[in-house]
Amino acid sequence: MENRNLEKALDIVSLLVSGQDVGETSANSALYQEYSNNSEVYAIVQETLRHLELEIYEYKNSLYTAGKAGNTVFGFTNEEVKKALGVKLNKELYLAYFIIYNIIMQFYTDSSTPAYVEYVKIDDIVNSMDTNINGIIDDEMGIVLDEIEENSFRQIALSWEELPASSSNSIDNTRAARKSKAGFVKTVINFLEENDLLIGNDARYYPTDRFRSMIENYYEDNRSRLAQLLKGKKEQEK
Amino acid sequence: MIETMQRDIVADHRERMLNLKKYYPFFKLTENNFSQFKDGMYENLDMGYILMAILRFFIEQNNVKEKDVTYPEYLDFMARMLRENFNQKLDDGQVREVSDYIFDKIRNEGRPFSFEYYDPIDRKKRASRVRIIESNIKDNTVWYSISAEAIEFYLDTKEIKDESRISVAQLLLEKMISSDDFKGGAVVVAKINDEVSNLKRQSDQVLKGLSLNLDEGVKSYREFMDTGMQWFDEEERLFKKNTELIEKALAKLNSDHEGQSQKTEAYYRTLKDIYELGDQLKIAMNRHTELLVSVTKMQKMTDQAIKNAKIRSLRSRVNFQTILKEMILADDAEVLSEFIKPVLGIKIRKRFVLKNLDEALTMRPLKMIKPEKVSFSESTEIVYDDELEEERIGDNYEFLMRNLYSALRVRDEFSKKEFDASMMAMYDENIIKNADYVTFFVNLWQDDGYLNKMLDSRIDEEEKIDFTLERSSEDSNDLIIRRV
Repeated sequence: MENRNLEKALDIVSLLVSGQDVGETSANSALYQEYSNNSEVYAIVQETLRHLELEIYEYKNSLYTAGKAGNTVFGFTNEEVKKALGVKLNKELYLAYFIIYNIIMQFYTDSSTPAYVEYVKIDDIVNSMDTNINGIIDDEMGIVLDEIEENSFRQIALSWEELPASSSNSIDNTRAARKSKAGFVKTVINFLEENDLLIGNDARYYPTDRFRSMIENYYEDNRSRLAQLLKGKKEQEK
Repeated sequence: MIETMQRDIVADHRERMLNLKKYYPFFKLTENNFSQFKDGMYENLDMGYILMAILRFFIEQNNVKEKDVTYPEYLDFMARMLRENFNQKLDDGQVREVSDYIFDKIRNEGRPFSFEYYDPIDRKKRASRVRIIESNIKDNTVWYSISAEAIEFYLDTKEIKDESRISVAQLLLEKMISSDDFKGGAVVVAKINDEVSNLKRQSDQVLKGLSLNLDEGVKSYREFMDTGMQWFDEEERLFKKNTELIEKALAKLNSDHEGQSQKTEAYYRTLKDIYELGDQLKIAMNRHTELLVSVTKMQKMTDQAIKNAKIRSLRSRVNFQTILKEMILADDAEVLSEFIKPVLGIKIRKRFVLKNLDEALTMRPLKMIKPEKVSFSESTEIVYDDELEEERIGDNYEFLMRNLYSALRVRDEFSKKEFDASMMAMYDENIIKNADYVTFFVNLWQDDGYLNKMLDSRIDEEEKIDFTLERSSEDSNDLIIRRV
């Protein structure tokens, strides 16, 4: 193994785990070329990331990383996401996850079919949430509050429905807060912007290439594990 | 309201009746059910059907093959049509007999059909005349052709989907130009323009559809190409032909009035009508070309979208809506975290730079390196300068936010300047010059979540008060803080 190649590969890994861009059009384009054309550099990067339990995704000639499931060093824990979002309760955390899932569904119908939607606005997401929450609680049957577990979808639905639509008259001026639907969505959007997954401009939020690389690769790569997870939960239910 | 109704009834009546005129001969003719002719021997035949067939035959001959029709040609067509479309067996004599009868009826024995109506403006009864078949004599032969009204009637009887509306309108235009009806021609061109604009709109919608749902988009694209665009070349040809006809009409007008030193008013009126028609047709042709450009773009986009979809179809995919249904069914939100957390990327905090690992492995230790003294004291947590600073900012922000909440408990609404004044009175005059004081309001205004995160661990949820911040309408340098 050439020492020079090791150095380049570690440079790439170092940049990736510190959240910097490695791509054809980035400041580190020379390193990207090495990764693409030098098989030894490619192999070292892959191997190092595998040991660090990180996934590497290539999208539009740029590299992105994500933590593998259960990676507590690089990946987020629930507590860390809570802290980053500024929420304290689990039901708020799950509501935030559900909002993120709805944002994904705005841009993708499935993991390989972009919906050609260029951007979303807060009210798009609030509407999508309202639609998807609608089916969770059977209003005719009613609910027994004591039976609802903190980490259930019914709890997510209740938390959402308890919120007023907005605390200000104009959705565009919505401030991040947990006391209204629009405010909660804004809180989540702020978090996604911080993590370089969305870019906001004039109350319109555009997905970044990082976001697209994650959606188009992560679900597909982890398809069977996620299916197993869902199946396991269903069997537990039975 | 009543005025509008009155206008509709009175002022527009003549126009409505003139529009109805073209339908009149059809209903007049279909009153005849052959029962009065030859003791009802041909009762089996249907005048409505026969009339429509004859009109189509004339359009084919006059406008497509561009020739007028002789009587023997008409008889040929009738013989074929009557034998093929009706069950009644007719010999040659009978075919001739019934064809003569029908032709007389359609030509209304040489007279135009007279459609009477009441004109409420003049308060008089008026009669408007309409012919189905026109005739002229050339080289001792009588030639027959279909009238413009009859073409219009025929085209109006069906919403043309499988034929180009532009082409048929152009046939009508051709007829109007050759009968020197240039004003009527301009109306037809306006219709053509509408149709071209309509096709342009349709192509925009197809483009929009393609971006939303590929399957539906491709379906409407194919439909559009089949119905809207397959006639494009034919339309282009007719446009050229009509332009030539206009030029010929202009030449004819000039040659007719050649040698007249004093041109008549009618000459100038006709000249103006021809020029207007020519201009309108040029506009229509330009729009038609623009449509072609837009359709070419659409073709490229569709090809690309189909290609992408084919490639995508090779990959398996995870349908988010299906997964959501399954998750809701399992009713365990913890699964959601498995779906979301990894796509958030990696958390980036201060950490050991891996590059140093490489340097550490390859660096040769200096021989004279001094050994490090072993210390048994417990290592203390390292606090970085920026963390110290963050702590200070956090303390100051908490202090300011608590003051803001206290003020909001006393008054629901106040300006920032009022708040500044009370802070200066309470603490120190220099407080508003403090950098953290300034950045506190900047962060509050920007609302990027930084302030919320910093204060969440410091101020309990119960103590918080929701408020809004907006620019003062009276003083642009001031803000209004209002409790929600």
